[in-house]
Amino acid sequence: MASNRQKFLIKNSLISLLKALEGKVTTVELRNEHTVTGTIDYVDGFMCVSMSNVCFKTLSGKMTNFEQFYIQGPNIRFVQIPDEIDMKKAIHWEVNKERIMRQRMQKAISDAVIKKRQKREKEITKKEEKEQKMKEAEDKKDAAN
Amino acid sequence: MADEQEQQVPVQNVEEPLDLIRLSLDERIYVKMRNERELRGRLHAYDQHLNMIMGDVEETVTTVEIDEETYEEIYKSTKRNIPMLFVRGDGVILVSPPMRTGT
Repeated sequence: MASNRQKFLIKNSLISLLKALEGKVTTVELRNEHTVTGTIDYVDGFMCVSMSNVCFKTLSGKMTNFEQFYIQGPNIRFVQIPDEIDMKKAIHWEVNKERIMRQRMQKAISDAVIKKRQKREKEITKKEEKEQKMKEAEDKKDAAN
Repeated sequence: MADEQEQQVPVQNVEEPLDLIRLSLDERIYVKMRNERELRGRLHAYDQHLNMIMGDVEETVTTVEIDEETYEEIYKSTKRNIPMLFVRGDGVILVSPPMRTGT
């Protein structure tokens, strides 16, 4: 998992958007005019990108395929962003995901607690009703006698 | 919740150079890059490194060739369009509103 420093870098720059590209097929253009097209697996805080199923294309048009590919951040010039990315959503999620996840977890826990409490209360009221009925029955019996 | 509200109210005072770029958010801008590259497009977002997200980008690459006979410099420019682009900040030289003659 990313260290605190990496997390800081990701949250405080546009790398948070690049994180949203993980799992998507894109083209990365390098400073030495080469282009790399493939699936982005992982982006770290220094913009280093691991990719898979990559087609590496030189400026002269020569193409080579690689199963795995790693690009150092400073070598990147452009990253093309696919159309389907909703950037605002992606950045919001990337920056706030820990808080969102925490909120979801807290909600789940509190829901479970409430459910449990309601169940217990129900059981208690049932028990009380039962006892009351028994009592009433006994009272009736006594009265009859 | 407070964070969101703060984000939605744009701060208009200019205190540091990067604040000027904020005035260009969601406007078309011109970016001069290293290696004789120029970008024109809509600025969607930027950060402190000048990493930028631009939409509807037109990239112009200018190459210089020297004619072998006359030794004249021949400038060739190639253009291409990219719908959405992440630009790494270390390649950026300058950011400005688009030049009126240039567009």
